[in-house]
Amino acid sequence: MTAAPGAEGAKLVRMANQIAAFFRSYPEATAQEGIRGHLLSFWTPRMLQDLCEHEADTKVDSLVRRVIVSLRTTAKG
Amino acid sequence: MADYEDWDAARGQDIVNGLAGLEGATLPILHALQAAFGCVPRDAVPMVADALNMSRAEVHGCITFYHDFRAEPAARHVLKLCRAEACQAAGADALHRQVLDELGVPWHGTTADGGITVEPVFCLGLCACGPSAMLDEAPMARVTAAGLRAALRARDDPRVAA
Amino acid sequence: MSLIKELDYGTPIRVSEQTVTLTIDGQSVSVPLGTSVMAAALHAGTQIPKLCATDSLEPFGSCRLCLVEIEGRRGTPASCTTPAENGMVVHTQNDRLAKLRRGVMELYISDHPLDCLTCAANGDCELQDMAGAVGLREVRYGYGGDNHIHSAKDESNPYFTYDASKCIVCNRCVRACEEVQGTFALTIAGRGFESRVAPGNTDFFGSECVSCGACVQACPTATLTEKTVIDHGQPEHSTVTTCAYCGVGCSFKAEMQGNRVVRMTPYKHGGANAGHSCVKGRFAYGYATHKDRITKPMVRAKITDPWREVSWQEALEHAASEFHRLQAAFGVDSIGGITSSRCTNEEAYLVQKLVRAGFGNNNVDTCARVCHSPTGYGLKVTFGTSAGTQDFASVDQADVIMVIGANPTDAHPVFASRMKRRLRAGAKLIVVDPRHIDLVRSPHIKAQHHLPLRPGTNVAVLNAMAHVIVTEGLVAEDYVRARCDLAEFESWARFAADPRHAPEAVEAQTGVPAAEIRGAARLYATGGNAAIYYGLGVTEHSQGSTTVMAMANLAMATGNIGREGVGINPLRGQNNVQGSCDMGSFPHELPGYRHVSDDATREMFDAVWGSKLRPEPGLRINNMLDEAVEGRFRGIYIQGEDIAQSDPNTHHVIAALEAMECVVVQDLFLNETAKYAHIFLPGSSFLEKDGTFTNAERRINLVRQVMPPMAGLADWETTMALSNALGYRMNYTHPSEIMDEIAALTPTFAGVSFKRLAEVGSVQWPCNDAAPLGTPVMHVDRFVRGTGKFMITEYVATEERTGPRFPLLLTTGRILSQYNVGAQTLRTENIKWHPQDVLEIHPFDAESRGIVEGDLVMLASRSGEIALAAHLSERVQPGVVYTTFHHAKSGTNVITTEFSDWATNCPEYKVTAVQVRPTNRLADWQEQFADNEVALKRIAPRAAAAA
Ligand code: SF4
Ligand code: SF4
Ligand code: SF4
Ligand code: FES
Ligand code: FES
Repeated sequence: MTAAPGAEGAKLVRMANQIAAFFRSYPEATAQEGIRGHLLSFWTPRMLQDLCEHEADTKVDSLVRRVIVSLRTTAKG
Repeated sequence: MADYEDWDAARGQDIVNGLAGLEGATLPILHALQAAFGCVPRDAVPMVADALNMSRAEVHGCITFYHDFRAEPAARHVLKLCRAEACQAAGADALHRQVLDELGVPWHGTTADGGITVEPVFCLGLCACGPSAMLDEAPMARVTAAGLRAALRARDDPRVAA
Repeated sequence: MSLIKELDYGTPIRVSEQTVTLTIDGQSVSVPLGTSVMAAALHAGTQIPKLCATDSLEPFGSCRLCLVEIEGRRGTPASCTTPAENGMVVHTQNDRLAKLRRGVMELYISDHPLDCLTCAANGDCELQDMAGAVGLREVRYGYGGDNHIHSAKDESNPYFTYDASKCIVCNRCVRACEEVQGTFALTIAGRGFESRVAPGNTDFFGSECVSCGACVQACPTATLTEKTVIDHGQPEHSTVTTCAYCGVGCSFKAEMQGNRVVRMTPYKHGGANAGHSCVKGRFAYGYATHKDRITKPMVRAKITDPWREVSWQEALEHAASEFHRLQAAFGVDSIGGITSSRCTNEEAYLVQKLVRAGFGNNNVDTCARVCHSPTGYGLKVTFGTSAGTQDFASVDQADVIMVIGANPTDAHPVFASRMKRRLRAGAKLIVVDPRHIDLVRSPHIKAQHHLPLRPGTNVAVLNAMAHVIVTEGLVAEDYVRARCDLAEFESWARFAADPRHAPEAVEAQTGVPAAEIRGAARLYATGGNAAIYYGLGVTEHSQGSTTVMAMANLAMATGNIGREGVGINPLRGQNNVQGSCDMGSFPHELPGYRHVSDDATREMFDAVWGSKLRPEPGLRINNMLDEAVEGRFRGIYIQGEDIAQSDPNTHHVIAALEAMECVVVQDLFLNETAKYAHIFLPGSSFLEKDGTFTNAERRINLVRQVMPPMAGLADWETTMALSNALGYRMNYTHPSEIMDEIAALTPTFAGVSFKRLAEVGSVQWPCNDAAPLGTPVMHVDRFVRGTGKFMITEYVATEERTGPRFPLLLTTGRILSQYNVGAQTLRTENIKWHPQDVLEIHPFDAESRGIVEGDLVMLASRSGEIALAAHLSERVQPGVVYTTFHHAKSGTNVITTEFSDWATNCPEYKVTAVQVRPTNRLADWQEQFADNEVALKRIAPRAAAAA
């Protein structure tokens, strides 16, 4: 596991998917809120930004993708 | 003298397992091992400890507390010399030194020819006529070095021993 | 300074609501019911002579020296075994007693060498004291008779000697090994005159002895004596301080001659250990003065250059200018720092302050990331506090003890002794662990249930227990209604009741028979006070945080939180891992676990620190390393932590370190990380500084300096000097001032000060106006967060899977004699117990691979491979292999992967898919390691450095 370019981005995607896997058993709204709160509490703005750039990545869990959308909106708003 | 089996781990484990369920199993197990092997072999100690959920040290303490248990099979003959107070007062110490020197063994030792094991005991109940001793099952009173020598010779004589 | 002498009451201090009043030598005294006449006499100021009694042990009554007369009773009873009663009239001194005692002493002395003047215990021998106390003047028996004076010595233990000629067979050592340590390694062999203390049919080193030293401490003569005392003589002064090894946090008297430690003796009033210790704390302190200690600051331009010794000023200015340069070129966020869980609270606080206020970012993390970060997260979410709920003493009230993923007899030995005492007294035990650890079955201990689960299935097992509790109606409904959030409870209960969590449904996945899970769940829920103790086998998984929450769920559902004898208790690995977390070592939290986004908290800190704190979390260690590889993170200040050895996937860690331009390492030794460093700042050991450590039960203990820092500066002074060189002013003259600042800024620490600690010994946070003496048990009337919050803990299996290429699961752990990366313990005689890391493999798996005991085998995972010796053992189950990570050269973390806990990124050390095959060579990494040991650790000769 050495540094292929983009390897770090793939790691962020994996981390986000893992978080989503935990919250998946909750109702959608609670799950989204949980994931979003978790990311905002523990990730640096730079990491969040990198994650958002991976929105189109097919590896991104759909639940994460929906959270990314809401993060974008807040960032804009 | 009974013939003893050579130490065999599987056989030892069988003996231990067979009795481990008893209430107060320690002594029965040790006796059974000694009956089979003529002693409680060193390698049996961890088995006993494990089966009874005791430490190896505790098992060792138990084996050494009871004079009947041995770590190695005894010689053909066992000579027990009393070291308790009354016999001491009757001069047992000097006698013991002499006997041990002549046989060339320490306490618990076995002579080079495997003939005799010497064990200390603490009181044989013959206090009034010490120094006392016990050769195999035979008690001896007012023991002297010469008397012991004669008794040992007699014992080793196949005609007598049989 | 003087030698601290603790009073010995002869028999244990009893606690009772009732008191009894009696008269001793004409003086009236009241003592708790159950107190012995001997201890009562000491309360009245009279020391009755004694030999076989000491207050760490139950009375035994064998020496007959403590005889007294009691009016209305016949004979002369032993005062140690006679309980004090109302109205008793006791005489401890008269001619008859004096004569009896002298007679007893005479018998002892007649079989004891009279070499007091040259004896190692001279001045510290109770036999000598008693001979004096009873006025022994002549010995009538002489040495003519049999005696033991020429018995051989047993010097096999590296730290203490057994000299049988001096033994008075008082049995104190045997009882200490049983009652205090719980190992049962000693016995009295033989009987009558022949009886002698023996560690079984072998010597001490070869015996079951774990070298805790309790017997040595209990021995009233020189029979069992520390070799250091034999070599150097008796100490002349002593200072109470705290062990720097594990999270138990034992208090010790460092007994000194000048600046030399002669002996470490566990302190009877230590809140965590009450006078007991393990082999590490008592004996393994020699690393502090080991020749490998680096005592000069050093710098180098490239890691392949030899180190150059420089002045403190040059080293610090160089570090400061490098950090400034990097921030100017690559941004404020391009550097960060790591606090140490080995250093004091004050030191951890200063490092995070330096990063947040001096560097101006939140890129600070600590080694707790790799061990107990899920504990902090999971317990905060469910209960509201990132810490264990109980004090250690609470275990004395537990009826059911559940140990999950912890091996206390090896990793937390002093607490394990206490737990074992409770188990011997009848508490029931559940062990959840893939391995057959000692607690499952060892002398006089036997688990009622052992759940030998597949590594990585903790959550599935706990959910199955929850299923049993919910579906069999074992929920403590009143408790839940009164204390917990009911809506959350109900959705959790529905989740738990789902048939897919039934023990029968998860049996195949977890490998645990359903009946065992059901039995364990029923016992936990219905057996009285139930307490959970857990370790890294819970946290170091990709579901670490989930597992912590699952345990919290169980405890809440059964009402096992908020009183003595229950609770959720993390057994913390490092001495100050709790403290370093409390001190704000995580990138998202300021001291006291307050999120950096909280404006009010930041404002309070800004006002005192003169800073402008950032509201967003910074980088965690693993993020720092990732960003380093990407080129965004360029410099790091690492205090007392060896990430190159202790963090997972060594290849990746090293790639990251190599990519950085300024790695500053502050440590005692040139550790693995220092191989990749550019600036080395010599650290100070726990003996060289003042401060505090916080143990696993939130107990804040004082650390006291007993010798000057070898490099001239204590670690807190070094951080302060670095900060000043960077231009961020810090000005403390003593660590107590740092604690005052912490107390002023942190509500849970408001009542803590060095003065308070010195007065009361220790306190458990929260310590403030509401709880001036601290808080042993938390969440008593309500949870810190208000209501307890049940969490839904779905089991999500790790992505690390076994398959045809890697069919076995590797799990890792530690052993008693060694500590973590081994930097300290391997520099002591403790190495004798663990000369190398070995791979435990089940005989079945070994046989199918043609491996026999002692073979060199190659252990390969997706991350890398290493070679080590195989040890066939049925402690592991088929399909699972196990090793330790104490020796750097074994490179265990070359194997471990970067998978980590979903919530905290705590690495998944406990599960790696591997293959094992016989080999006849070392792995490439290990060959390279041997080369690097030389190439990356060179120090230029002094003359050249000066030139
Ligand atoms: S050092 Fe500890 S384990 Fe060893 S014999 Fe003494 S008390 Fe027992
Ligand atoms: S070794 Fe010490 S403690 Fe043990 S029986 Fe002998 S004198 Fe007593
Ligand atoms: S149990 Fe831990 S704190 Fe106590 S002496 Fe051992 S290593 Fe030190
Ligand atoms: S003292 Fe020797 S027989 Fe009694
Ligand atoms: S101290 Fe009481 S009998 Fe030994």
